[in-house]
Amino acid sequence: MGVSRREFLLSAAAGLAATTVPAFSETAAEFYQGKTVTILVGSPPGGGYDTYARMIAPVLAQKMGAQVIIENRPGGGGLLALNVLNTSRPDGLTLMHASAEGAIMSQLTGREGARWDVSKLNWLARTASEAKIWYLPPNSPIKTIADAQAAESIRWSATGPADNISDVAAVISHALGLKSEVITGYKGSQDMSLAVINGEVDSGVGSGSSILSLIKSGDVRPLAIISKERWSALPDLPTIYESAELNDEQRWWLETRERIGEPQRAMVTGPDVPEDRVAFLREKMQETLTDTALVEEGKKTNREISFVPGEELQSTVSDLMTSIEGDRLAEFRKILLETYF
Amino acid sequence: MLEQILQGATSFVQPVSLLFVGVGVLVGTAVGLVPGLNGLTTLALMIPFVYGADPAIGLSFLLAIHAVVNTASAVPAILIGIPGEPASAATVIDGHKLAQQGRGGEAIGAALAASGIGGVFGALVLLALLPVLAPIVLYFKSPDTLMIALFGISLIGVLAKGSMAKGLLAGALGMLLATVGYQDTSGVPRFWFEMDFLLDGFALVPVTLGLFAVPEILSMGATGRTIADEKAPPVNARQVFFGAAQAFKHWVAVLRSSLIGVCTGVVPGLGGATAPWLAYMSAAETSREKHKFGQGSVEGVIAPEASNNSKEGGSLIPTLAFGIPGSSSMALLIGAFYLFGLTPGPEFLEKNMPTAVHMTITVAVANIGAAVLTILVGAQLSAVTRVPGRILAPILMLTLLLGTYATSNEPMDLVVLMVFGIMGLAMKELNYSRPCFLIGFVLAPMIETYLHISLRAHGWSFLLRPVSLLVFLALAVIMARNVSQRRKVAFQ
Repeated sequence: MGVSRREFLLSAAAGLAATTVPAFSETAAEFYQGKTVTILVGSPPGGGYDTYARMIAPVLAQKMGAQVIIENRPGGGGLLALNVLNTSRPDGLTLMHASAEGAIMSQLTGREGARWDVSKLNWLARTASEAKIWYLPPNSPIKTIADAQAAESIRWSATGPADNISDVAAVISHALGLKSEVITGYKGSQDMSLAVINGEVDSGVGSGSSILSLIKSGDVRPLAIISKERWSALPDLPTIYESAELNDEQRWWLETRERIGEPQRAMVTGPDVPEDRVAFLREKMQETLTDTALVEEGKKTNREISFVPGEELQSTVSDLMTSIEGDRLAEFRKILLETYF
Repeated sequence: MLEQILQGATSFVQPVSLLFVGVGVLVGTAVGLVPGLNGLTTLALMIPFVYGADPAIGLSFLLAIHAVVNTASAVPAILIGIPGEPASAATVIDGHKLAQQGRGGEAIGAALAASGIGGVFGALVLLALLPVLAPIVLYFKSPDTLMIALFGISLIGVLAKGSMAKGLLAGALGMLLATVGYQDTSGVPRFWFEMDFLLDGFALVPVTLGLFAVPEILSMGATGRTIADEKAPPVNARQVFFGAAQAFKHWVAVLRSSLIGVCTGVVPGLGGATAPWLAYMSAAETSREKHKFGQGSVEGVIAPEASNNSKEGGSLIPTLAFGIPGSSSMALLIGAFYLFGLTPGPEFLEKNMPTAVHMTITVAVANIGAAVLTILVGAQLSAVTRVPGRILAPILMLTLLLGTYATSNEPMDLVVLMVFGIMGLAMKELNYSRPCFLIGFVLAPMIETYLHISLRAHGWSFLLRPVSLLVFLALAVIMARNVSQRRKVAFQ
């Protein structure tokens, strides 16, 4: 045939180059124009991550000039979807509204099946975050943290190990030297708080919004908020740092766990996505999540937005991963997964 | 309280509200009628439509759909042996036998009337309890869930009377396959072979549809025959009405099953798929015509259907009282609450009692509406049993595949459907009870989890809790009685 070996190699090289390098001078904005962007959600339709994503999608689509669709891929408490994202084509067309807290915890505790590396994922923006509250039954003899430290035994309700509840209970227990036992198997936040209300367990941890109405109705009594700052919805509730005398080591545990919880709900895309597209996505996320109409809508429908830019989130995540390494990591896993179970 | 009930009733009878409930009933009925289409998926799809509506109207629309899906899903369960929803699997046992005997119309009538009565019963109980929901929910603790699940497991013995060994084997196989995926209390995945979709175990929808629907469709397609015996007289409206009258004749069974449904709904963690089996068991144990169960007993249709609908009233109790979802559909409904800026729980009940009343009335009215609607078209629907299998089978297979895939966008669910389909076919041919399998599959994880919680939170003294003790004694009595009078009546 008329094609020489040299010509063949040249054209093959040209072809390869065409597939790896974006077409000449195509900007990220041009790339996304008219494309379909998929936001994965790791839970069935109707859950928190889903309803947030569905609220954000139309505004994001408008800002990006692209179609934005939501795809629910429930499984393994979000693990399946994050693995899907991790191995998706690195073109920046697949995003996920994920639990950053869950992704970090899974990696730190070496959860079976977690195949991603949070430092390599491209974090685009935090969408929402809230601090956790330590609460008790209203008639509990424990009135202060000193009472808790003196108690013979404290049982906590949780769904499973490293579920962002049981590990918080474990960290509190370790930092404050409580004689705790974490009972796993409850189905979700409401199920866990019911076990506290009906006295099946002695104590619980939950996100602010999930137990605020129970606090207001007097069904549970809050003891402290696991955060450096007080919460505007409960201004009289002291932070755990205010209500206990802590040495540096104790403080390290509480602060580290708090920092893991801080990124909470976030938009993320897979590893190896071209930098200009990541930058474009971050910029559009910022425009979307600071859009006044969207923020207002969120307030009205219990989906409050608390935006943090992608770059900041990225460095928070990598700092966190480097601060828990070696012997610290082994100790961290032991406390969070074994000591109190 | 009376004033709030009146307020709720007034807001219910507004034209817009009635319109939404009417549309909800139509949607729910349509979804229930088509095997494979799933109530849960429908509910998720409908949530955006109510966005921006008045909360009471929007929530009632969703509730109307949810409350009646199980009414209509009895029809495919009876006529073609395919449960439209996992909760209708118990109806297949006797309902489909009746259809094969040409008594499909009667079975449909009985099922629908029982559903309607059960649904209204559930709503009335809820209405009566609205002021005192919290203490009731607080009374039930993990050991009670455990004991009721154990009680449910013993049903394997009742359903397996034909061959006890085969029934127990089927139940054990169900339990074994239920261990795939995360173990609830330790978070350790079992038998997942590094495949992510197995982390949550086999999903209930493809398992149920695989076991019950695939074998029916395959044999329908293979033989090309119609479902009803060709010599059987055609179904007419009179048959359907006769069936409906049967439900009123067996009112004791209907009320008892409804009560079982409500209680199962209230106890957290039991889930919707348990109630109909418990009701079936209690009917089979107390009926004067025990030998007919499994051979085409009208009571065997009435009992699961009544409990199926009454449990919705019951499962609204923990939902409204503390925002605890009694089932996955209720979890979606709670999601909708949040979208309206409401948080189900004590505060909601205090401030929005009329909305709660409005929702309760919706459950009752939607149930009556769906039952009447489906009874009126029941005779026409049963024409499907006269369609040749070679035409019906491919259509059903298509809706089945689409519906299964749509449930969670998981392509592997189709593989699960087919694998369990082949297993269902083998079990059917070799006379291993598929209901026994399903009961083991549904209840085993519950027993494992709640035994763990009960032992760690209460120690062995949990056995002395009143509810636990009562259920335990009832279980012992039934077992002792069955052992002493083992009959040789073949089930299934």
